[in-house]
Amino acid sequence: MNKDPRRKSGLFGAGGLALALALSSQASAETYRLGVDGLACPLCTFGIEKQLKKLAGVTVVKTDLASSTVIVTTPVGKTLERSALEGAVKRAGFKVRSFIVAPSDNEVGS
Amino acid sequence: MNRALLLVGSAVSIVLGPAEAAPITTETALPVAAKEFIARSQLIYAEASSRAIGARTLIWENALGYGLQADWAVFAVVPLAFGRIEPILQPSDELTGFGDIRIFARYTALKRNGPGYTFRITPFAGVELPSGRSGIGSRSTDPFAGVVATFLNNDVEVDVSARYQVNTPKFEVNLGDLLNIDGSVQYRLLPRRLGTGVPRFLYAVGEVNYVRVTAGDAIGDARADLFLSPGIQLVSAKYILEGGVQIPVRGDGRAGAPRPDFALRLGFRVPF
Repeated sequence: MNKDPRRKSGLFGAGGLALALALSSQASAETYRLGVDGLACPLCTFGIEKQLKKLAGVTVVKTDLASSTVIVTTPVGKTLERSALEGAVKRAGFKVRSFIVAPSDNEVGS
Repeated sequence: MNRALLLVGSAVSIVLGPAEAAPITTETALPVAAKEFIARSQLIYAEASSRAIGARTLIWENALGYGLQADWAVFAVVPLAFGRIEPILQPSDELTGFGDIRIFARYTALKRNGPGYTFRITPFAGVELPSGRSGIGSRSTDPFAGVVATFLNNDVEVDVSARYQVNTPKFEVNLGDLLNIDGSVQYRLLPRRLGTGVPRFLYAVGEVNYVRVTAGDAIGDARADLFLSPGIQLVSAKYILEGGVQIPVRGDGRAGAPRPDFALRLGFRVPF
């Protein structure tokens, strides 16, 4: 059991730094939140994510099955047209229901 | 051509599964993404018998699907069998070797997508090619066509499929045409509550397979078999693992022709 308050503070300090760096990284990205109709099983997400990752500039694709939501991330300054995202989802056999250019803190689980 | 071999091989091939089944023995209408592949491999241990003869066969069935477009996909299925007929009547009474290859195309004719669910209807048509050397299949060029409907949400998947195959006579043996009507329900056991991200799903699978063979000069009267196929399936974003057993619960008109006794299945599939 560590009772040294300086050490405890140091640990939190390191964690806080890591969190800050992560948030900084998030803030330097363009993020798109897609509501996808028809998405209802784990294997379905493979096709959608692979099609979206084929788009130039896409760095991260994360899916949340419970909310039928896909988050697509690109580097700052690299924007994606809605039609490009819709086309990728359509090629996977699904349909974009909603499209939001999301704030960077709108993260979905992995 | 050994008539017994053809009849037993035909009976064994009745339990071969469809290529792109999302359940274990039933077709599905779920999509294959454009320009993407899905591979499926199943080990099937099947026994078939009549009063006089029987067969024990291990079949390694490999299927490859490719998405031409979002709504079009093509599939090829190659079974490789290791088995024999008992009692041995002739040295050629083996079921070892490649079975007939099946190729077919599928089109999504109706698609209703909503938040967390999809409903699709896909007709399909293809041909079974006489490439077999193992007696698995009819060794003739047999066209087939069918339709499958699928409803899927985050909790359950329901598939209903009907398929008709014309068995053209070969070696003067008419095996009769084949009608398959399959139904499947998959229920998500785990996770009990859907968390964030893409969790792995553990499904309980319950399937019913109705197989009717029309009258043929080799088998006599038409006959029908009904199978129950309980199973289990683990589905992730990158693979599916599955296992199940197919058990006959009703059959009629055996007329001396062999029929399937049961089939055990273990398999996996991967998209790439």
